[in-house]
Amino acid sequence: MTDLERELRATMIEAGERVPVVEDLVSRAAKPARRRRTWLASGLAAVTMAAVGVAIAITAPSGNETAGVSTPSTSASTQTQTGALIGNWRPVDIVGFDNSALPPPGLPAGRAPNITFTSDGRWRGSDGCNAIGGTYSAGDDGSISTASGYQTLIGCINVPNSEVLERAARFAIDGRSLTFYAAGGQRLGTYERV
Amino acid sequence: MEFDEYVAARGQQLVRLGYVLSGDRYRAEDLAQTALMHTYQHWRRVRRMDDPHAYVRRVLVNAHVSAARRSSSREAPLVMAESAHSEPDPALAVAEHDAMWRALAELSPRERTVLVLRYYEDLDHASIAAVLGIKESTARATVSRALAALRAAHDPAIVKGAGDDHDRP
Repeated sequence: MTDLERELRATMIEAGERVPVVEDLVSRAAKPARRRRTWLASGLAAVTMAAVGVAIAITAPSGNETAGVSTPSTSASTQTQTGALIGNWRPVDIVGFDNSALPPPGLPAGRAPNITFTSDGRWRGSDGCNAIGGTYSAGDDGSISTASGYQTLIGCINVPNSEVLERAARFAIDGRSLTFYAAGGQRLGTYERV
Repeated sequence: MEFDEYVAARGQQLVRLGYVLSGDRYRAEDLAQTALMHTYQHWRRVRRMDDPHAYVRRVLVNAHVSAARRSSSREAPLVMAESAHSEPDPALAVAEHDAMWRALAELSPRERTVLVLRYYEDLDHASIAAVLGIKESTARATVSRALAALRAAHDPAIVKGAGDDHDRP
């Protein structure tokens, strides 16, 4: 081992020892996971139905909760579906989430929960206190698939934007309203253009 | 072993690793939390592994690498602005180490990561390759290249013309 390597090792060991002790790692690790499990459990039926729901979803992605939201179709407007997705959206009604916790519109964009789709196939946003992001692929037929990448994790009540996108198989845009659906056609969440 | 016993024994070690990797104490906590959240969700499987800590470490390291990759391509300031220089290092009075820490901060995330795995975690090239999901030969070459880059960053005057990582500084 060279002097450089020895010094590198000593530097890193010393740096590591400077880090303050984090006392609540167990609760920080367990609580968000429990919350997520609960949320997923509430959607278990939807996941179970997904296997048989794909064909239905293609022809009728709207479930019982889609009144007032147009569904993707082969109409003349389909060409704009993907393009219309681009932009910044704020959650207004997430299934399985206490929507009363959502902040009112008009908060500074940096902190408010939101999702932004960009034309390079990436999405980014915030769950209210954590930066989230990933990639997505959307089709003019209203299909969408996403992958989560970067996510900082700070313990707080998180708006499950990432989870909505992870499960989203289809999307529909009606004016300023964007709604995501699971593969089985269940509504996952509705967003409003900012 | 229960999950909380594992965290009690190894949790802080993960935070330290996160700090040496990222140079940012808050990022370090996030990385440890990310790795432990994932571990908690799969604990029944993880606890039966021969080396659960190796698994958790792998999760942490790859969370760091992918986060660094994403942030460097899109939001570099988010991570980098907080790193290295945001926290004063009163305990690190030794100028030599301070210079080395700054040199480390100049490396790419990939280069820094392999050096941390090699010299902080004491992993051999095969183990580094396993953590990062790369070939052993690639791990070896990356360590070598990272050492050369570190040497150049640490003392540019000395390293002029030296491309061999066996050269002494």
